[in-house]
Amino acid sequence: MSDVVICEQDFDVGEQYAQVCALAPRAGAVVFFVGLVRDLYDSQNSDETIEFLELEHYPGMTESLCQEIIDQARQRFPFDRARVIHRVGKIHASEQIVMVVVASRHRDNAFQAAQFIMDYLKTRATFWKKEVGVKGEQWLDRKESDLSASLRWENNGPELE
Amino acid sequence: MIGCVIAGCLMIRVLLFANLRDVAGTNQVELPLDNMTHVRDLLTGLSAHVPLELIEVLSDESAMVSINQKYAGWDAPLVDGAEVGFLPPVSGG
Repeated sequence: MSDVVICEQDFDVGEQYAQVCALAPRAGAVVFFVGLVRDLYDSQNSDETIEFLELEHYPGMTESLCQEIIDQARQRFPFDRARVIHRVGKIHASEQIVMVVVASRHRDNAFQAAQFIMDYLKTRATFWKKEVGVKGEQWLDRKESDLSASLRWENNGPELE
Repeated sequence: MIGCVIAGCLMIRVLLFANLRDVAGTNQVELPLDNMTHVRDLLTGLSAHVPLELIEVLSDESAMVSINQKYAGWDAPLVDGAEVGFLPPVSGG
């Protein structure tokens, strides 16, 4: 089972849980984060409806970056197993878009590693989101709040290169 | 292209993503390395192949850059056969 999966298909959290547990038999804690497409309104014109998000990525570089982020997280918060799944292509409201799971001996490392992975994934991994609506489409910018979320780890241990 | 191979000319492959690709109207451009030595020199080489608007968008150097799928800077040196990505701010997750 690969640690990083970038795909168009949806994923089954129950199935992922079973797989991770099987691969981390000594784990005492499993933390999941699942990101959903929250609401589909135009972020600049809130009365306009968005039909779906379109996600693209840089094949090859994205997988390497996600693996690098997992490896960095493991150095800081040792764990038994982690996995990232990120969907690309067309994704509608309420659908699952991303999953991070970490299995470790104790819960602290699982919680922290999952948060670290997610924070860095949002600011470093080469994904781009486009909102598509009846009146047009627009690429989304990285949010300042996401940037600060990843920066909080910088003064507290080894940094990503 | 055949002429280039015969002349032994060195090539760079530029990849464009998201809004940069939309502005360019293409997702990749192959360029002879010529006298370009650093990433920022690519803007000159690109100008013959893409709309002027892309050069304008890139010229403030706010896009991130990758060389052979690793993050790099605008002052990074170019090497033969390099794959250079111009990357708008990422928005995954």
